[in-house]
Amino acid sequence: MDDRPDRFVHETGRHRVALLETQGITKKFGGLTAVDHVSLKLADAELRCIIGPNGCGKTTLFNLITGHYKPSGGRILFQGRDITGQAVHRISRMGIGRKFQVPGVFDELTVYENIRVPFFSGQRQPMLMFGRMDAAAHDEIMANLAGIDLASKAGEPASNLSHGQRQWLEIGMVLASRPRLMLLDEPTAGMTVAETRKTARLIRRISAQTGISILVIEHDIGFIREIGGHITVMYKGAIFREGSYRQIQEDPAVREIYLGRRR
Amino acid sequence: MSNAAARTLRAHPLALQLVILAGFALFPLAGDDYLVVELTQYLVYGIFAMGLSLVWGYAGILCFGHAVFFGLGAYVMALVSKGMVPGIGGALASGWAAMALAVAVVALFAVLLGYFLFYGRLSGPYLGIVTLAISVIAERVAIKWYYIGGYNGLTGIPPLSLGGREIIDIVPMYYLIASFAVGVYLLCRRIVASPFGTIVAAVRDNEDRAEFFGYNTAYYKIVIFAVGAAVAGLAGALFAVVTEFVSPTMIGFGMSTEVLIWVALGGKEVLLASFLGALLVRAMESFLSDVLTYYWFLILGLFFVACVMFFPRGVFGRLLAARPMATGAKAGGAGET
Repeated sequence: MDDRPDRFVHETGRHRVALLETQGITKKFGGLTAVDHVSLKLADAELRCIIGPNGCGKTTLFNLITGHYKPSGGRILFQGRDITGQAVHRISRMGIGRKFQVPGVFDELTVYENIRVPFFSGQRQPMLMFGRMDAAAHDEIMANLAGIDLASKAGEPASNLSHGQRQWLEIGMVLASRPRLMLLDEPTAGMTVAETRKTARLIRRISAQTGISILVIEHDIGFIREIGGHITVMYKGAIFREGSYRQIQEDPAVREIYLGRRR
Repeated sequence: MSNAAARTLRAHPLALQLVILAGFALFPLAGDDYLVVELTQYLVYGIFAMGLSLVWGYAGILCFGHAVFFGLGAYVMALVSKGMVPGIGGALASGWAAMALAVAVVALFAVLLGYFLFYGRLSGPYLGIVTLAISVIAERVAIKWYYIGGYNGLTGIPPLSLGGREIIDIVPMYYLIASFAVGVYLLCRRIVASPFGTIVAAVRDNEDRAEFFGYNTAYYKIVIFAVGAAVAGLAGALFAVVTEFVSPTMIGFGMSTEVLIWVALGGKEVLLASFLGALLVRAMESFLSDVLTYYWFLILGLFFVACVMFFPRGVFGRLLAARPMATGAKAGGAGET
């Protein structure tokens, strides 16, 4: 894994390692071009938001990165390696974790088991049928649950959780799989203002403490302001603008297509 | 059983399991030989039911042909131990070797079948239809293939021997089968409680999500399918020994449906509940068919409908669930309609 030279790219004025890079990635559904030559570079430990109106191709871009869709053109590099068109579980194993728009928690499993599933993914231990949990693994899972404020719910089925708690649980699940890159698809959809703020703080804390690169699709402007960092605006499948929150907010063209229409 | 007693037992699953174990251990002392013979067979069916519980209850694979594995195990056991397989004789044709071979053949067959089913991404009704077709084909083959006895099946399967002594008497046979039942139960419970078991449950609940966490879901389904099949194959081999007889009905669609009913009635998500479901239905059949002759099927049907409506987790499922179940959501969901 570490036999390749690191790739340095020029990014917002600093030299950083590009963890993820899409090169002219394109996806067509029949006559519709959902993602149109998107070239995106995400540095190591970077926290970035992607915004854009509905149907602008944000989720399709995620589906291309995770291998759910095969691109019609272009390449995707992860840690310098070409992962274009690889199987979903292979890409996931390389260290790309994803939180879905609709909470993808396992309803029939307990909150604890929900963390346990991704915890054993990757190369942690061979999946022997008679394997057992060691104490260290248990402590790590409980620490994960404490981080998302769900330790007291460990024994309850995930179906008992509130909407916000389910979103946090899924963030905890993605985190438990020890990704290098987290893709979060609208993590605050349907949340109250207080829950949204808490989620933003949670994501910022994860970014600062773990150094995991995080790519967030969001609609909520309050959330994006709270997150800070670099913002990519997508429009009609292509990258429209990139910049800081202030630059994006003050850009009249962005206001026109996106912010302006939001009250 | 009073509600308070039920609650106490539910809070102490180990105590409950020991009570059940003691019941089976003491049964031959109390019952007459006829009942012991009956119960020995039921125990074999119970093992068979645990195999389906793994596949259906834990992995969510609705298999309409689980008797194929049961019947295949029985036929391999019969053919090998009777020395009817060319090239396999001598020590390899002894009862225990034949049983090991039966389990291995069934597991291998299930891996092959599972490979096509699960890498072919068959699920839900399509999987049901394919497995149903396989069970019908298996029964036809067994009926038409005269070498393996055709319609009449095979008789005169030699008994197992333990420590140089053949196990023919019913009470030793009962304890032998009961030990197998306990062994299979402990093995299966260990599997479902392992991290592997959690992954299998996750695949059942949301396969796409499990795949996004990097799990090759088809692999997990094939493995649990093969384990469930091997358990059914072992039950088939034991059945051949207990009854000294195998026939095409054991491998077919009818038997496959019966085991589905036992497991559904008992509680498919809980191994022990599935096991007891088999015993309950077989005991009911034995009792009711004496009293009601062929109307008993009507009673079984009504009982089945009642269970689906009032005990969606099976008659024993709630009582024997090892961990707190989704009481809030499940009960709420049922109450809404």
